[in-house]
Amino acid sequence: MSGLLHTTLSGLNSDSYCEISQYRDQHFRGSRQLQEKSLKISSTLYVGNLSFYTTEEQIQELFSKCGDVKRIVMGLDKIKKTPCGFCFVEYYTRADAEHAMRFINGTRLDDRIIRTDWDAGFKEGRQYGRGKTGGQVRDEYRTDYDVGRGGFGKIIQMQKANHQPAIY
Amino acid sequence: MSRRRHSDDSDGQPHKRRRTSEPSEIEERLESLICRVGEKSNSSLESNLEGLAGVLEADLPNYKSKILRILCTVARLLPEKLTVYTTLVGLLNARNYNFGGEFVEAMIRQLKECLKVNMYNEAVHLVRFLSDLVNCHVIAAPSMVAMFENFVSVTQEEDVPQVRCDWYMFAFLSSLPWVGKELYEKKDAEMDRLLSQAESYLKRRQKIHVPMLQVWTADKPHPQEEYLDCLWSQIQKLKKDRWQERHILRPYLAFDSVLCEALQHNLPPFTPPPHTEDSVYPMPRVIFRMFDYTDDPEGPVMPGSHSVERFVIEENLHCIIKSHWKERKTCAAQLLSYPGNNKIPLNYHIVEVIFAELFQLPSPPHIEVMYTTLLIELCKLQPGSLPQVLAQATEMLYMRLDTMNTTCVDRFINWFSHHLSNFQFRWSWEDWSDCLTQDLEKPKPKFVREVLEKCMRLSYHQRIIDIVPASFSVLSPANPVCIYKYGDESNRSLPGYTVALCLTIAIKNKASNDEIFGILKDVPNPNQDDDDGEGFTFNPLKIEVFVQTLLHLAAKSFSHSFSALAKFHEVFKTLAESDEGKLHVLRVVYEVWKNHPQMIAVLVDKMIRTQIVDCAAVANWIFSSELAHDFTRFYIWEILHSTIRKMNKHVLKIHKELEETKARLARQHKRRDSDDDDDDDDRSTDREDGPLEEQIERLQEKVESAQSEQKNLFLVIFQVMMVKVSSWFRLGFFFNLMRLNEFGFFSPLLQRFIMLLTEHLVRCETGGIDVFTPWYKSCIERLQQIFLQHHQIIQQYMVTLENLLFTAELDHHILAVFQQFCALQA
Repeated sequence: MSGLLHTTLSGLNSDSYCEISQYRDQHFRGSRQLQEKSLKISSTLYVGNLSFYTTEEQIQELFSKCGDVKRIVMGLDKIKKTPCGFCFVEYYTRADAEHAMRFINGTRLDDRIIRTDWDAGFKEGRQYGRGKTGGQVRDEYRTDYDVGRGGFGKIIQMQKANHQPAIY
Repeated sequence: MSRRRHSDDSDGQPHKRRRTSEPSEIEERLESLICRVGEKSNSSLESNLEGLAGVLEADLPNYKSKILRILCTVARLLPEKLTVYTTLVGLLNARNYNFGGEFVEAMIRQLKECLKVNMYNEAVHLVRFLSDLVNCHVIAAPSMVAMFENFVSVTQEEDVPQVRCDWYMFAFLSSLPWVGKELYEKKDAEMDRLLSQAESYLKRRQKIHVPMLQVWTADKPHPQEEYLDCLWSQIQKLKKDRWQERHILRPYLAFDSVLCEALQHNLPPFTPPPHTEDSVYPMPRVIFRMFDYTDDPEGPVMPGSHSVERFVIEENLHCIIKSHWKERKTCAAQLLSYPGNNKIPLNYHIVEVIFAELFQLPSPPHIEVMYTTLLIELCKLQPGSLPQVLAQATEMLYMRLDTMNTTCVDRFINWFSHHLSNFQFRWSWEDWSDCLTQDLEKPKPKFVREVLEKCMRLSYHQRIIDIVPASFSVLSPANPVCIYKYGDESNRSLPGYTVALCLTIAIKNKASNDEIFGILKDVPNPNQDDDDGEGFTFNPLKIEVFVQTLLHLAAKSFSHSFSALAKFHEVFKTLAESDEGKLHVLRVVYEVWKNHPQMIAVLVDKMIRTQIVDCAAVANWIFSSELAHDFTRFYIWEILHSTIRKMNKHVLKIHKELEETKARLARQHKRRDSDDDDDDDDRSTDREDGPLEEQIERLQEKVESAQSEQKNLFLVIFQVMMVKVSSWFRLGFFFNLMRLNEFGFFSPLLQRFIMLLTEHLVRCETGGIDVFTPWYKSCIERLQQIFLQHHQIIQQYMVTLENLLFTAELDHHILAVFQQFCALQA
C-alpha cells in the first residue's frame, strides 16, 4: 500500500466557489474547446453588479487582498464611454484569481454584492457593454430601480418617457 | 458490456469511457459512507456507526485495501472526527481481528511516511488516532506507552534541533487528553516517569523565540504562553483531576461491551526516524487568548486557559478551518455545529480561534481575506449573536493596541476596514474618542487613522468624512489629490517651469519619446560638475520636470498613469539609469502623490515590473530622510513587503526556468543514450546539446545575478534598519558604522542620513528623551516581521548576515531579534 499520503478525500477537495459557471461569452472567437480550456486556466475574472460610480482604485484595493493585480479593465458604455457597471480583473496567477472567487465573490464593494466569474481573457472590444443603448444587456431589461446603475432599466425608462403627459 | 467510444461532443468535453465498471463507483460510495457517517441522519451516531461497521465488514473480502486506505486517510485528514473513526475501527477490529492488525500496520507505515516528508502536523493526528485506538481496545495500552517512551527519549538526543524534540514531546502530551486516563490506569509508574522526563525537558528547553511570536507584549489580562508550556499546564491539571475529561465525544463508550471482548494488537516497536539535513520541523507557536469566562457572563462558562477542554476545543476548531477553508459556507456551518455548543460559549471560541489564526506570527495559516469572509458568513448564520461577540472582540483589541505587535495591528487594520465596508461602515466611533487627545504616533490614534485611510480606499473620501464624527477630522485621511508644483502661475519662477509647460503641450499633442528628449535637453543640470556633456547623466531637475508633468497629466486614474509609464518608458529608463536617478524618480513620485499612498504603491509596483527602478532603489527610498516622518505608516511597509515579494518571486521564477532547462537537457541525453541506431557522431551530439547548454549557462548567470540582487536587497534593508534603531543607543553605534563602512555598504545618501541621525541622537541624550517610544517599538517589530516572513530565504544568507552585521558588539536589542530568529529553527 504505497503512496498513502497521495490519497485525498473528495469531500475535502470541494472547491465549489472556483467552479466555472454556465455562462459562455457568445462573442468568443474560437472553438468551444478553446473556450473551455481558456476558462480552466484563466487568471482573469469578470466582475459584475458594480455601481456605475465604483472606481478602478476601489477595485484595486479590494482585489489586491487576493494577490497582485496585473490589470483592471473597466467596462464602459459603448456610446458614452463611461463605466457601466462591470470590469475585468486580471491576476498574475490563477491561484490568486481562485482566492478572489472564493473570498471576494458574493461580498460587498461600494455597498453592493458583487459577482465574479471566470473569463477567457480580455480582448480589445470586450470592455464595451453589449446592450442596445450602450450599457450592459441586463440594464436594458431590468425592472427594478437601482440608484447605482442609472435608475430604472433602459426599456422601462423609455416607456416612462413615452408616457409623459403632454404639458398643455 | 458495450464499450462505445464517444467522440468529442459539441461542448468539447472528453467523455470517460462509459463502462458499467462498478469498482470506482463502489469505491466512491464507500468513501462517501465513511466520510459522512453520522451526518444528516435521524438515527443516533452510534447506530449509524453500527450500521456502517456491518456494511464495511461485508465489503472486506472484495474491498479491503480500499477500505484500509480510506480509513487511514480520514485518520490523517479529519482529525476533528477522530473519535468517530476510532470507534469505527474498534467495531471492525472486534468483528475481524486480522483487519484490525492490518489497519494498525498501515497506520504505522503512514506515520513513518509522514515523518520522512516533514508532514509533522498530519503525523500528530495519526499519533492521536493510534492512542485513541487504545480506548477502543484495538491497541494494547502497554505498547502505546512503549511508543511514547521512544518519543520522549528523543529529548535525550544530542546535537539535534530543539524543534525536533519539541515535536515528539508535543505528539506525546497532546494525545493525553484522549488516552491519559487509560494509560495511567494500566501503566501508572511508566507514565509518571514519562511525565517527569517531560517536566525536566520543558524546564531546560530554551524559549528566547517566544517574544517574537507573541501578539501582545503585556501579560495582562491573558499571558501569551508558549504552546508547550500551555499544554504542560493543561496536562498537569488533567492529572490533578485524575484524568477525568468530559468534553471529548467518545462514541466507543456506547459499545464498551462489544469492544472489551475484542483482542488487542501490540504496536510494533517504533523507532523515531533520525534527524537529517532535510528534516524541517514545525515552528514553535504561542497560544493566543483573548477571552475568558468573564467575557460572557450570561452564557455557559468558558473553560479555563489551563483546562484540557480548552485545548481540545481549540484543536478541533482549528482542524475544521483547515479542512474547509475553501468552502466558506461549509466552514461556517461546521464551526457552528461543533458538538457541545450549549455547554460552551461556542461563538467566543470560534471568534478567538479565528483571530488566533489571523494574528499568528509569522504568518496566518491561510490567506488573510479568508478570515474576513468567514466571519461575515458566520454573522449571516448567527445574526442575533455573533455580530455582538465580534464587536466585543473589536473593542477589546482596540483597548489593548498599546501592547499589540505592529504586524498584528496591520492585520487588524486590514480586517476591520474590510469588514466595515461590508456593513456600510457602521461603527460607534464616538466610543473611541479617547484616542483624539493622544499624540498621533500613539497606537490608538494611529490605528484609527490607518483604518479610516483603508476605508477610504474601499469607498471614497467624502464617504469617510460623512461616517465619522466631526471631532475625528484630525484623523481623517487627506483628499487623495495630486500635487503639481508647476501648476500654478505663481510658481513660474521655479526652474524648469517653462520646460514643464512645453512638455505638457507636447505630451497632449502625442509627442514621441525622441521629441520629449529634445525638449528635456534644454533643462540645466544643477549638478553641473557631473554633467559629461552628453546630457544623460543624473540630472535631478530633468527628472523632476518630466515626472511631475507626466504624472499630473495622467492623474485621472491608475490606467491613465500606467499608460503614461508605458508610453514614455524609454525616457524613464534613460533618466533613471543611475542609482541616484532611480532614487530621484521615486522621490518625485512621492512629492506628486503624497496625498494618495495607494497611487504611490501601484506606481512603484509598475516601475519595478517595467524595470524603471529596482528593488534596492525602492528600499533606499523608503529609508531616506524625506520619508522619515512617514516611516511608520502602514502603506510604506506594504510597499516594502510587496517589493521583497516581487524580488523573491523573480528569483524563484528564474530558478525554475533553470531547473526546467536542465531537465530538458537531461531528457535529451537520455533519449540519445537509448537510441541504439544512431552513429556515435560526436559533432552532431555537441550540436544538439549546444543551444540548451548555452541556455543553461545564461540562466545560471541570471540566477546568480538575481540571488545577488536579492541578498543585496536584504542587506540594504537590514543595514539601514540597524542604523535607524541603533541610533538610539550610544554603545556600539559608532563602532558598527565604522565596521560597515569598511565593507563599502554606505551609499553617499546613507552617510548624509547618519549625520542627521547622530545630531538627533545627541539631542535625545541631552533632552533626556525616553528611548522606548512607539516609533522604536514599531521599528523593532517591523524588523522582526521581515526576518520572520522571509525566514526561508534569509536562511540562505545567514553566514553573510552573521559575519557582517550581527556581531556581538551590536546593540543588544537588535542582536536579540537576530538570536530569536535563529532560535526559531534551532
